[in-house]
Amino acid sequence: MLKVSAHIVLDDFSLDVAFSSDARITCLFGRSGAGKTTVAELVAGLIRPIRGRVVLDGEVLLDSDTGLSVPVWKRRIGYVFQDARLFPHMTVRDNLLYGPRRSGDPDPALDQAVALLGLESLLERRPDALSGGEARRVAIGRALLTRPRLLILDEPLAGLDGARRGDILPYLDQLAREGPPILYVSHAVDEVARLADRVVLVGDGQAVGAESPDAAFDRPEAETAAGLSAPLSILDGQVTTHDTARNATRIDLAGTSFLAPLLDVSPGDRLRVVVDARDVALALTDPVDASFQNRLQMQVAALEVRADGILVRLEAGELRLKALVTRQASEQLALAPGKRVFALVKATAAARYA
Amino acid sequence: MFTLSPEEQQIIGLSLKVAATATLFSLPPGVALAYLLSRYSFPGKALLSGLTHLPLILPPVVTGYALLLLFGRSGPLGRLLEPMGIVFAFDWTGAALAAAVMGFPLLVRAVRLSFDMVDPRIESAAGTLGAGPIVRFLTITLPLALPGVAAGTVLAFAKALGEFGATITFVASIPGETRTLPLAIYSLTQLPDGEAALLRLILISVGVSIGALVLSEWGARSVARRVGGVR
Repeated sequence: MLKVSAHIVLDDFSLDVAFSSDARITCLFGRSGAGKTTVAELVAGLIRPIRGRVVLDGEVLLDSDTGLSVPVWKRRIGYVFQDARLFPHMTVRDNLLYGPRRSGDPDPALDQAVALLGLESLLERRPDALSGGEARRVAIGRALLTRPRLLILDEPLAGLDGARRGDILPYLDQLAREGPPILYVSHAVDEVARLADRVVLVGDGQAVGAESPDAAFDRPEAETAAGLSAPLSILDGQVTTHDTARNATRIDLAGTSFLAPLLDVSPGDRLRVVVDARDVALALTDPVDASFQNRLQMQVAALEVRADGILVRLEAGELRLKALVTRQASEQLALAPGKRVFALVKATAAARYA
Repeated sequence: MFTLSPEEQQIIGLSLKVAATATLFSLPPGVALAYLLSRYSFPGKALLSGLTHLPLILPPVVTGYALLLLFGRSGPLGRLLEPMGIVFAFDWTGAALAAAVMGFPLLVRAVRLSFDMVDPRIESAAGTLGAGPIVRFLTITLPLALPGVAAGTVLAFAKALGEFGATITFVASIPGETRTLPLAIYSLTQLPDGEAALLRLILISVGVSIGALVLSEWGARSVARRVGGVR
């Protein structure tokens, strides 16, 4: 359980932080320069706020009222910096063992970390002989070996190209399942949608929340923070069947069956599907002869007038979906709360992020 | 064959002893001061930095005279230290002190520059891995700055070996006690028939200097190689 409240003033901006989360992965999400890293540094103890309080698993790490501040090196919070910050004068092995040697850990889980992050062939190398993706994996391993109570990952995928991202993502997935709780700093919607259990929005001088991704992305601030042009629906589901030959995946989304063309999944996998509200069309009758593979019978829960159209909130049991339609379309269909409609989503419009 | 007379051997021995002592004793405070100047800002920092560099700018005679005033038998620090058995006046230790003071700015400057080159973000990374300030300094900062420390040590040693003005002002030129190579060379130039001995001593001086330089360069380079990865 991480609880943070603080007022931070840096050279040219100030930030009010208030969130608490006991999720496996909490994402600090916002634009570049919004102060995400500042919040992470506050938690790690690398910066001091004007006033504030940081509590991790019941231990007070910072309390400006009593003047208490546990120094960085005693907080046992692993920090994976965006720029890796490996020690240039040590081999990868010595970098990995730096933490255990400081704490006198007699039995560091070196082999385990090496296997988890695929570092076998890198151990005797120097940091300057590593690629960006390799350096970050080593940095993650180095932080993990300190047996941290919390692991902070600052944009672990930023600046990596597609292939290098692919290098790290599977390790992150595994880390999410097996590792310590994670505070994940990111400005990328896909990473947050894929990994986050809770999202803290950082922007406009504030870092508040710790809500579910779907709820967090429902806020107008999230759209600005993410640079989105339309709202997203983030849907948790489980794979029911996967037809490899036709690359068609059936996903159970809160009781509703949904078809999406996904790769590398097998039945039983839990995953998230993200649907852009602009990709959802509405119909009053079931258009059986249309190409839409997902024709979901839903009910209008609410209508919101926006500058770019009408946001229609739909529900069917536990499933929530957002559709953005024009004013004309809304009037043609005489949409109103309670009205039954078919939500039409092309299978190819559903992006997979987990 | 070039054989050294006992007197010459004694001069070389004294010179090396004085220079080595001066370098060795100025190294810890020099490194500490360099780190202080590189990493922290505090009131009086500019003054401290200026004071450190003073021997570099002042005429060596002035520095030597200042040492005489401070550490002479009747000087405030001299009187303070005498009961503890530490005497600098007209003693080889005084020559070492003068050499140390003259080499100190060179040492601090080189070491400070190399500390400036060490990325503080690397140090903060060590902090998140459980290293307190002292451990962090010893395992990260100092090893990364070692090539600069080695370079500063070489500079300070070279300066100490060649130091003349402050030494002769502070502790005079006492054969066997404070007469190092440069002082011995100077006194030979004052003798009407000292030319042969003078030439020998000059050759020795060149040899010792080149030898010391080669040796220390080799040392510095092997340190830099061992640390590696630092440019």
